[in-house]
Amino acid sequence: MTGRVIVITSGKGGVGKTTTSANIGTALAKNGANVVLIDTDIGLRNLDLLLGLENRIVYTLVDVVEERCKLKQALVKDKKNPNLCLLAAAQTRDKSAVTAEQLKKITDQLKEEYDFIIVDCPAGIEEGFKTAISGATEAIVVTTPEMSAVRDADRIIGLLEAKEEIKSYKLLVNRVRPSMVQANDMMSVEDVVDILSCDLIGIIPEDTGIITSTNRGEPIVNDENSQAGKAYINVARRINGEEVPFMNIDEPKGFAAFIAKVKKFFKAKD
Amino acid sequence: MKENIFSSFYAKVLSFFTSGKNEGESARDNATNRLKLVLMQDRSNLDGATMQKMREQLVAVISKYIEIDTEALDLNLEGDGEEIALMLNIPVIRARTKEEIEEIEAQEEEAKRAEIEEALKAQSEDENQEENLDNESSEENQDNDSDEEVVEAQENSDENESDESEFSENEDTPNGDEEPTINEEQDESSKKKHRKTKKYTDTEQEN
Repeated sequence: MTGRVIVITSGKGGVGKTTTSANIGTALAKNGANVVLIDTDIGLRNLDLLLGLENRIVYTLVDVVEERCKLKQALVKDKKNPNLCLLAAAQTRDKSAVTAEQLKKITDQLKEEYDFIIVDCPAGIEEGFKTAISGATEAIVVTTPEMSAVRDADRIIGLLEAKEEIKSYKLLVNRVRPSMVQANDMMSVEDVVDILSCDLIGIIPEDTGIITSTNRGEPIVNDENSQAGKAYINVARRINGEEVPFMNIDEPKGFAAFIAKVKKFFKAKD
Repeated sequence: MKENIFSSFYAKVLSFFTSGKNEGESARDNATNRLKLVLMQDRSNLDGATMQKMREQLVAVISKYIEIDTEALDLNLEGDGEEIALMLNIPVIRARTKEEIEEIEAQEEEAKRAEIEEALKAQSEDENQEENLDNESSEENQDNDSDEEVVEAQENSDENESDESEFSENEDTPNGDEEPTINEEQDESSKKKHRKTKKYTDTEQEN
C-alpha cells in the first residue's frame, strides 16, 4: 500500500493550518481511512492541543529522528478514532532538529501502512517549510481573504510549483465572512481564486465554534451542526475524489449567487 | 424625541441611497487591486532599487526631448492575468524646441568627449605610476650594499611622492577651468582616480 502524503501549508501564520490539519485528518479517519497527522512545527507545537492529546505525548518526531524510540512508539492514538494518530513535534527544540531527508524517510515509512499522512507545516518559507514539504506529493495551501495571507500564499504556490515532487496543490480559503463580502468590505473567494489562479478544494466560513472546539480539544468536524465542521467534511470528501458542490453558506440571497459564480468559474475552467 | 427618531430614520434612508456612490472604490476592490499590483511586482523579481535605476534612466532620456514633471512621474507594473505591462505615466510640462534639443545633444557629446579624454589621461597616469614604482623597487634592490646609499634612495622616493601629489593636483585643476559644467560621472571618475593614487602612495610608504 502507498498512502498519500499531503502537506498543509500557508506561508503566513495564524490562517488556520493546524485547525485545517486536525479537521481534515479527523474527517478522513471518520470516513474509515487510516491517518497519521505529523506536526512539524518544532518548538511551537499545537496540533496536540487541538486534538486534546497534549497529556498523552511521550515521544516526539525528534525522538524518532534521533533514534530514542521506534516510529510506532511515537504515534499517539486519537481518543475517538482508533484509526487516527498523531506524531507530535518536540516543544523544546527548534526547526533544525529535523532535516528534510529525515522527515522524508519517516513519511516514506508511514506510507507503507497508512492511507493518509497529513503534514502540518510551520509558518514561513525557511527550513521548517522545506522540511515539511520534503516527503509530500500533494499540498493544500490555506489562506484567508486578507491581503497579507493571499500574498504569502502566492509565494508558497511559487515555491510548490518549483518542487517537482509536489504533483498537485489546491487552495483552501478559510474564515470567509459572507456578510462582509456582500457589503463589498472583503475579498470574495472568487476574487482570491482569481488572483492566485489555483484550484479550490474548500471554503470554510468564519465560525466562533472553532474557538470553542479548540478549547475543548475536539476538532469541529465532530460537531455535525457547525458550518465550519460541515465544510471540512466536504474538503475530506473532495480529497477522496468525490465531487462535492461548494456549500451554500446560510446567508441571504447574494451569497448563494456568489457560490454559483464560483462553481461556474470552475466549470468554465474544466 | 419624535423628531429625533424621524431625523435618524431620514438619515438612514438617505445613506441607503447614497452609499456606494460616495465611497468610490469599495474596500474589497481596493484590496483586490492593490494585491494584483503587489503580486505583479513580487512575481517579476524586479526589486525597488532596479525600478528606481530604470526610472532615473528613463527620465534622463525623455527629458532630453520633453520637459517633464519628474516628481509626479509614475512607473508601475500592471497586468491582467498572464500579461504584464510596464506603465509609465509622465505629466508633460512642454515639448522642447529643436534648438534646445540640439544644445542638449551638443552638451552631451562634449561631456562624452571629456570623459574619454579623462579615461585616457587616467590610463597613461596609471602607467606612469607603475613605472615609477618599478624604478624605485629596482633602485632599492641595487642600493642595498651601503647604508648611505639606502638613505639616498629613500630621499629619492620621497621626492617621487611629492612629485606625484603635485601631478594629481594639476590634473584636477584644468578640468574645472576648461568645462564649467562638470557632470556627476566625471566627478566620480576623478574621485576614483584619487583613490587609486592614494593606494600607490600607501604602497610606497610601505616599501
